[in-house]
Amino acid sequence: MPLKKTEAIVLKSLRQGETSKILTLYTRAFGKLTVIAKGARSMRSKFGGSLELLNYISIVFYEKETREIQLLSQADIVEFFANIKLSVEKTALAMAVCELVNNLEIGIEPNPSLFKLHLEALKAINQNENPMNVLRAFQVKLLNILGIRPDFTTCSKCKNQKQGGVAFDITQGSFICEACRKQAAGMILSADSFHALRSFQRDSFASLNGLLISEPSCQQVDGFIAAYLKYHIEGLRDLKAVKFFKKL
Amino acid sequence: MEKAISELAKLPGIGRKSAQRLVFYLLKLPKYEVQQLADALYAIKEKVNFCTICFNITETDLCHICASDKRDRTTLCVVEEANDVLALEKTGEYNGLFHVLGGALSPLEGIGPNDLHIKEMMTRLNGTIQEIIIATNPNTEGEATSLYLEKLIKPLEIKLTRIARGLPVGGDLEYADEITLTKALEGRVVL
Repeated sequence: MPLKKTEAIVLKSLRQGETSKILTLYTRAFGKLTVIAKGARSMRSKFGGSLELLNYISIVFYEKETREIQLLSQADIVEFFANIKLSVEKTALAMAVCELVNNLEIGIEPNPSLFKLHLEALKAINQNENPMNVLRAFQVKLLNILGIRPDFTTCSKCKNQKQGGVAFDITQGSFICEACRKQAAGMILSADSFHALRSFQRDSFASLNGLLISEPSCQQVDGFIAAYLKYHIEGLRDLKAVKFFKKL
Repeated sequence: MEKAISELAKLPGIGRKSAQRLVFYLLKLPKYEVQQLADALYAIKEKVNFCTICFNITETDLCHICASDKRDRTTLCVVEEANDVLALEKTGEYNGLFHVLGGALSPLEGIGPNDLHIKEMMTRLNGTIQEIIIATNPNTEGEATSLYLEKLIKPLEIKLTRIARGLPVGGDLEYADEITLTKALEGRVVL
């Protein structure tokens, strides 16, 4: 069995037997990977706190192609996002990022762009004052990587490039301008919501700190992102971590 | 046979092959021993309840800790599961009361505050309790639960403590990870 080395983010952890853990990891080189960490729950485990949820780690595992669950040999912490773990709200939103990645049917193919985006999102939640905006931006940026980028600059009907619209045609992935509104139905979005969505798509996570969105626009943006994701990604489930966050 | 295998395979940590091995083992046992096992399993559901105050496991209305008049009623230790009560009781170092939450907050599993015995814990903070020790597991979910409880309890101005986290006895410092060492340094004590 060859030993393989990569970097990973811990997406999910399940108890296995007396002291072991089964972990779902999103890795830089092997996509989504399921591993077993034997003895990881024991107080004297060599893995220590490295396999905690959300951690960014460096791993070594034994690869056997015929096996669905690989055997984890070593794990070291690269970053453990201390600020996230000091806030219930940040923990819930960071877990929502991980839950979304885990729910995608991405298999074992590596996707460096997705790994980079995932990591940047966790770092931003760790540092940002408005982690909910980071989650929104992560979801919008994810659409680019998945090849279903919404177009906020070209009207789906008249194909004219415009700065803003009044509605969005989710099926076409494009907005509807004021002039074409009577010819096409779409999800109504305010100018504030359009502005926010464009920022989420275009701007870096770091620049989102200063982005202020009104409460009605937040609801519109969240409704748009959820509807867009559900329409374009078959079988995508609602995020439990977001429901949890709303209950807090 | 098939029914027994599929029922055993529903248990946590037991796959179909392990369930088959257990069934073949049970087949080799004398009939009375299998009967004893079946009776013990049935009795769990018939006789074992949760304590109406702390949600520890008990065969009566109140658990032996809540019913005892020798316990310190000013200290309350909050744990995730009844197993944790057993572990802390084994130390012989703690003489206060317990409260079992029935799990930890888990955003990924959708377990929120209303799914745990948090409201019941808050009703116990009626003036007698002077210290609350949060003894949830030192993992991401346990820490999130601790932070949530801290938010609820802090305004009540009751002394609130968290069990120490850090190096296990017998472990080597050089093999400890960054989180464990950070927590060990944060929780250092004056000699």
